[in-house]
Amino acid sequence: MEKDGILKLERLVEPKAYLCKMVTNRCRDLFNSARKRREQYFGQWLPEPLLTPNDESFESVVQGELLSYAMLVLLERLSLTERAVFVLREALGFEYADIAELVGKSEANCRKLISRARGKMGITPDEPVNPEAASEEWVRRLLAALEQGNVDMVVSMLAKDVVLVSDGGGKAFAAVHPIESRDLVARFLLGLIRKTPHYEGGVHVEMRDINGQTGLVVRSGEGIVTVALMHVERNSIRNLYFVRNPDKLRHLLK
Amino acid sequence: MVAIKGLTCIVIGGGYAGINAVKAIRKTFKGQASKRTLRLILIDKNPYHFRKVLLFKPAVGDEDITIPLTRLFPEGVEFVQATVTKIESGERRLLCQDAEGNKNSIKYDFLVLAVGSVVRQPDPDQGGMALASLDAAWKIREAWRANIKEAVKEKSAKERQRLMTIAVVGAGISGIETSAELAYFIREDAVLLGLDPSAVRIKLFNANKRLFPAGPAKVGLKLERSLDACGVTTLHGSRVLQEKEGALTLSNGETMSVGLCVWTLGLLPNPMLQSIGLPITPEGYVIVDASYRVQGAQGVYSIGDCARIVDPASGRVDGKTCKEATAQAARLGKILSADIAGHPTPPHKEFIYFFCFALGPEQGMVWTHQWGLDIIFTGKLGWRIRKFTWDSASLLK
Repeated sequence: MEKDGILKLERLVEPKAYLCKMVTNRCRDLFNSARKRREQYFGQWLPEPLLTPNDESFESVVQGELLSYAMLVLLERLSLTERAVFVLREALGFEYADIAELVGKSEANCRKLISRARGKMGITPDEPVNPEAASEEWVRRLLAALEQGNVDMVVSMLAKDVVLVSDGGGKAFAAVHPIESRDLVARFLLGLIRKTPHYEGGVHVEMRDINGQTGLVVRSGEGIVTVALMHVERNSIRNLYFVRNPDKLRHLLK
Repeated sequence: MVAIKGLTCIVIGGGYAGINAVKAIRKTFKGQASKRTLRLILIDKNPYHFRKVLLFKPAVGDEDITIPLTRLFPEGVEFVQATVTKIESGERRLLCQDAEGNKNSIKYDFLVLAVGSVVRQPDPDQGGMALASLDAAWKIREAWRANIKEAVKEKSAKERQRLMTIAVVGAGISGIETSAELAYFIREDAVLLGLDPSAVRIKLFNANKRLFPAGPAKVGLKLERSLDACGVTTLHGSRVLQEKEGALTLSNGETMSVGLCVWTLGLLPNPMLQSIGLPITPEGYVIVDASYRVQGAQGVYSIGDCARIVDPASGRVDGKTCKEATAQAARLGKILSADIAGHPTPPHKEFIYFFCFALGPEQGMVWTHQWGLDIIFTGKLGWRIRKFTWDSASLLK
């Protein structure tokens, strides 16, 4: 493509402007195609557990190594600039004028970016940002209730508007749409437990420290089949994340 | 009609805590101008605010890291250039001595002690040069420049390498920032002089097992990788005993040839606190309560590096960087206002856990921990945030 451009250069009145425009368009195309890949993802998309980004560039506000999964899910919804502005405002408490100077945008634009970021993350303007990871004790209690098939107990541990998101990436069985409401999530979880005897060699569930919080690693004879993480709000589970896409679990086997 | 008596408030120290205290007190009293008039006096031994955290800058270039106090406060503040020798809190009076040796006493209603800290220096027989003052920073610059010029003429490869090797001893924030800056500027000079820039060796000696022990191990590793990319080699668990005639002796008995040894050993509370007449901890910090009031000294407050400030909620001792000093100063303004009005004072609250590192020109790293996340900013944005903290602490924002 660049070669074609150079061949045309001789006939051009403004070769510099042409080259600039051409490179800009090429970059846009690349960006759009990456976005398209994400849009074409089968089912729900979740970040990889134990994600350790090494991108050191300015645009990438590095998200950290010991990530709270719930927060990571929320931050993944933001563009790079939104993420930078959001963190500067919400984590470091910078004034809008200072953020504007730091990221090279206008103050009004920064306010809009924050508002948009909060909107994308589902946080209302007055609501504090505070996703809380489930403690080991919480996870243990939930597991015990599921193993005993104690429907009432499972339901009581879930928030009224609990959401379960499962990412199979089209390569593993997973709920294509988020499962919402306490009853549906409880039924889904108990259904999963009932299915475990069907796995060859049985299923082994272990509690592990994932993204700096207690998560569940589910293994079968085939290896790791699911990583489950959850976040708790006001003493009940608000979100459950099931990562089942084998591509996202492969690195955990190392 | 009864005249309302004005108040005299003295701030001792024109460092980060001192200038921010002056700003906060002025702001507080502006709102109360109709009630009480304020005479605000700032005492410092220098006529300028010294940006101590930028000491590594004059060690590599021409940057001026002083700001005249009159430029920071063109009006409404009186300056006294003197050294305070005694605080007689019973009489609400302080004694000071100017550069000519003249002794004075000044009465106050409120006194804010913000004399900060001094850079820890090695024993004279340990050799090397401590990055402890402006003068020392200039001498360090002269020394490495002389070495690198000599390296151009040097025939022996071994001696040339020695001249192009610098040891930075002490891997705190200052050591990290100094080594990254030295690596960048010495390489630049090496190129100009026709030397191979990759032959410039900056060795950062860290007594701990990793960098940044105050934060998670991964942040320390990330810092180390960034330093490595700048051309700085970090040596962990290494204690330097002495530098003598280009030979560095380590505690494990090893020796190493270096052209220059720069000590960055951290800070100590200002030694003048020992004799000023206020209560201090065994380590030499002023003892204050949760509202920065000095124990047993009416009307005397202390903030910044010189005070031991504890969060009453968590029991944690506050950090001693310019960020904490700025936050303490802002709270002190409210505390003074509340004390004058006889209202309950706001207690100290620890500053957000937040660290910045400059890693050479336009490169930096910022780490904070929020929402269970370790959030790191790197590259230019990291550097911009670093610069922002420096500038806002020196009232340049």
